[in-house]
Amino acid sequence: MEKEMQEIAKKLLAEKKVDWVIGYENSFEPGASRPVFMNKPEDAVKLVFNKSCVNNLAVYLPKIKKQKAAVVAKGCDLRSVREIIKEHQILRENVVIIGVACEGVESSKCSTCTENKLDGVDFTVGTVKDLGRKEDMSDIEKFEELSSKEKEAFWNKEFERCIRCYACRNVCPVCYCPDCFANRLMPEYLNKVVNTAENKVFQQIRMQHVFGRCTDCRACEEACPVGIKLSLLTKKMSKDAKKLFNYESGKDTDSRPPLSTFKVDEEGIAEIM
Amino acid sequence: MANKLITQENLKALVNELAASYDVFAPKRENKNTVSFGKLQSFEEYVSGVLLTNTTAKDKVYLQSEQLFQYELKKDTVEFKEKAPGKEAVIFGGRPCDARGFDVIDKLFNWSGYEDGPYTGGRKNTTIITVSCEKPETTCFCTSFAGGSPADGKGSDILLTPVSGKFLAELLTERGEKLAAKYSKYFSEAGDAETAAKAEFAKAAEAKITKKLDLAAVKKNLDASFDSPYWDTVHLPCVKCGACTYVCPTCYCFDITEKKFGYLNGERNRTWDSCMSEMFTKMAGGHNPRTDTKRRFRQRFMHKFRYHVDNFKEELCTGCGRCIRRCPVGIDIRKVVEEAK
Ligand code: SF4
Ligand code: SF4
Ligand code: SF4
Ligand code: SF4
Ligand code: SF4
Repeated sequence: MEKEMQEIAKKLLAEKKVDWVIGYENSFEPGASRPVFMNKPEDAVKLVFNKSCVNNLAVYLPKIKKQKAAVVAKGCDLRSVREIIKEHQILRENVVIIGVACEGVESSKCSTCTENKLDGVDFTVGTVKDLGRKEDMSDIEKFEELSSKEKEAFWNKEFERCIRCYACRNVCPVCYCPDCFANRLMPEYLNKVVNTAENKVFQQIRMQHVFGRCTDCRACEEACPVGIKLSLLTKKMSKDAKKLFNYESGKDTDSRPPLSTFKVDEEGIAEIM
Repeated sequence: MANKLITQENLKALVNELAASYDVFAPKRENKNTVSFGKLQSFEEYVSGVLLTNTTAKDKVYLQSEQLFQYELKKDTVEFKEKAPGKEAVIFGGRPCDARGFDVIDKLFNWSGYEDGPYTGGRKNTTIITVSCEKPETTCFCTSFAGGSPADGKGSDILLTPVSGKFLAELLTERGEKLAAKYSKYFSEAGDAETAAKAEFAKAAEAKITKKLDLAAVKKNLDASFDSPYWDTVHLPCVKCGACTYVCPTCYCFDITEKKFGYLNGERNRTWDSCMSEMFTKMAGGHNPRTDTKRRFRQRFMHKFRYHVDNFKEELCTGCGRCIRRCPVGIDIRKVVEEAK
């Protein structure tokens, strides 16, 4: 599988089809890997793929701007790539998608993954198998049953730990705003003081901004240095987007994200007035 | 300074007694994967087996958000309120690289005859009881630094090292001696055998550290590489969050901002800031001299292994490896500075 991937990357770079290949390489730490940017064909031998390849490399695509890049994408990452194309952050013709037939990495999302199909990629590395895994919303349903007070107590305890490093935002493929509200000073949405209340405001607004665009890729949760359970939010959002708008982000490259459009009668939402 | 001995049971009793009268911060489990310095109610909560807490002990003295003062507009005056000094605290169960971090930033916060009030105030109020590391992690590289070791006492008031089923307690400062004197019932005298055992312990632990940087070579290369094309590509995987700087025991940069209440009343706060953030060098009026992500990335390594060495004759790093562990994209400071050319 790695050999196959290296050959593709080497050829793309040698034939100058792309400026960059973005994939994974072994890191200094035994058993770990990390994202790598390559622009020379001879570097392609560095490419690896194994269970430690958790990073969602789609996050780098909006930064490539007018250059061309090939990106290694697992099925789940592919959804983010599609979402970014849909949102015009990169042109489809500027990205070469090297899909990998992934059977799971070291991430909480893999045991319920139904995303390993690689529709629409330029190259497929390995053979896609049906892994027989099923979506499981029981953790979200259980959380939904808690009272507002219990939910609040839970999140207060989580966000008390937040150090507002913004790793969650910066690894998120759909958080590409060059001028994030969290950095604005005039008006100041968010004070620099780090406390539970401000930390919650940050994540609440971020979640609102990524609703219906977030693919529940878990990059934010994986990145959080203090282990905040962000997947409870991202999974709940994907559940709600499906329920309210019958919408699944990153399934295609041309539908409109639900909050960027509106219907006079939203079937999923009950009229209150 | 004196060496004492303390048994496991006595250590437990000591910590419990300390927790009754001080704020005792020690590695404490937050959830399955997270252990940070939290306030101990009792010894039971202390997680002894973790070397690398997710965040550092630094934030117990140098607060991430510190209120400097509040101001309130009165009829014809402005009233200032300063924060009352905090309770006396003990940081227990940190590691030599955590304690050394304090020693490094102590010099910064007392530089050129200027004493930083909030920091030194907290520092004077805090006793640091450190535990030597038996099995360093693969990310540890404390032995790269002058005197750095998994059993080094720099920055600690008391250093505990496991020897023959007990702990050797080295009382390294006046503060450490005072605390041991106050709780002398828990300590006994240590002999030469235990001191020798500690030296053995240190040797064995040091031998387990796999990576040692040649700091003289690193400095030489960084001195010459500011404009090198090396920086054009090495930064690309970095997403420029602040995780590495906010979990670091030696990063000290801060910002000062106002928070207002009502029309004219407010407070002035000091909050950590990070050279990785685009806001870090943004000035009033919008100009940003550190224009791009490459320059921000370069700054972190240049500061730690070049500029700080020029100013303080030591690196702004203790080799704890937290930035390596917590970086979401596996940027490895050892590799970045070693390969700079
Ligand atoms: S990554 Fe975690 S600690 Fe950092 S800002 Fe996000 S939630 Fe907070
Ligand atoms: S799971 Fe997190 S990182 Fe992934 S798209 Fe959603 S918000 Fe962004
Ligand atoms: S949180 Fe909102 S403003 Fe900030 S980057 Fe994400 S989408 Fe943009
Ligand atoms: S080195 Fe890692 S932790 Fe630091 S800013 Fe870059 S991505 Fe974030
Ligand atoms: S730079 Fe990294 S290794 Fe050095 S003290 Fe800071 S967190 Fe630890």
